[in-house]
Amino acid sequence: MKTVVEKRYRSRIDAVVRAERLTDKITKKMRLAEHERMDICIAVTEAINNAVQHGNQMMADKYVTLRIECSDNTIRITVCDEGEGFDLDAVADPLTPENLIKPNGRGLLIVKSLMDDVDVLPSTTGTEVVMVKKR
Amino acid sequence: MQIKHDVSGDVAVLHLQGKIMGGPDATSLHEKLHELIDNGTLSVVVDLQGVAWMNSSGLGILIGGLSALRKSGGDLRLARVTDKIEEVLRITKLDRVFDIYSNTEDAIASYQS
Repeated sequence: MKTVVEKRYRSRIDAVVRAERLTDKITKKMRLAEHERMDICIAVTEAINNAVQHGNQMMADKYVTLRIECSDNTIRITVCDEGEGFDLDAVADPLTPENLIKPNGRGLLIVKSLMDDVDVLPSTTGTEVVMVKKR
Repeated sequence: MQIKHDVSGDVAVLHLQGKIMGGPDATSLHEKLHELIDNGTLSVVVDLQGVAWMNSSGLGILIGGLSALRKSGGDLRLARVTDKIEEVLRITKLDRVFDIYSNTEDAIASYQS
């Protein structure tokens, strides 16, 4: 059986906390292992943070959409913003010595490391991040 | 997230509780670290036993505090890092940047050596 939950958030910093609460609730219901739930919650907070701050630039009239699709063996999460997109190749590598102690730029690396499949699809009308965790 | 602040000699120990994911809670940690730096505290231990996980926002705040303290001749050291935070530190290679201790006593004592 497949369950789909979708929620829209205003581009405010508290969207991160609200999205995490929803994700935590859903992954608890799915009875995922605690370490898997943490991976998913961390990934969602990274994607929402990026969407609110970098995608929508904290503009009050823009929204971030979180979509969570659960099936028996997969959880698929999509985060969409309404920003102008970005050049994926221009994202700095946070592991190089010159970037290692910068305060930001690690979100996508963490998402890719904790989830099984990650697609980042920037466009001029917004960026879509699709993250999959297999059970 | 909750922050409890202890002092042991010249060392400030921050005991954190909850998740660190950005938003208002992360701001309070940032403000607490900079309050310590502004007050001349150079030796800080952050006790993470009560933190199940943190994301890159939390790491960024700790790195910001570490950089500010090291510039002033001080340091920020981590104690009782939980499994998921250890994994995130390893992924980001920040396990090579922070000094990490298995308990707060050793982290405090490291400032005396």
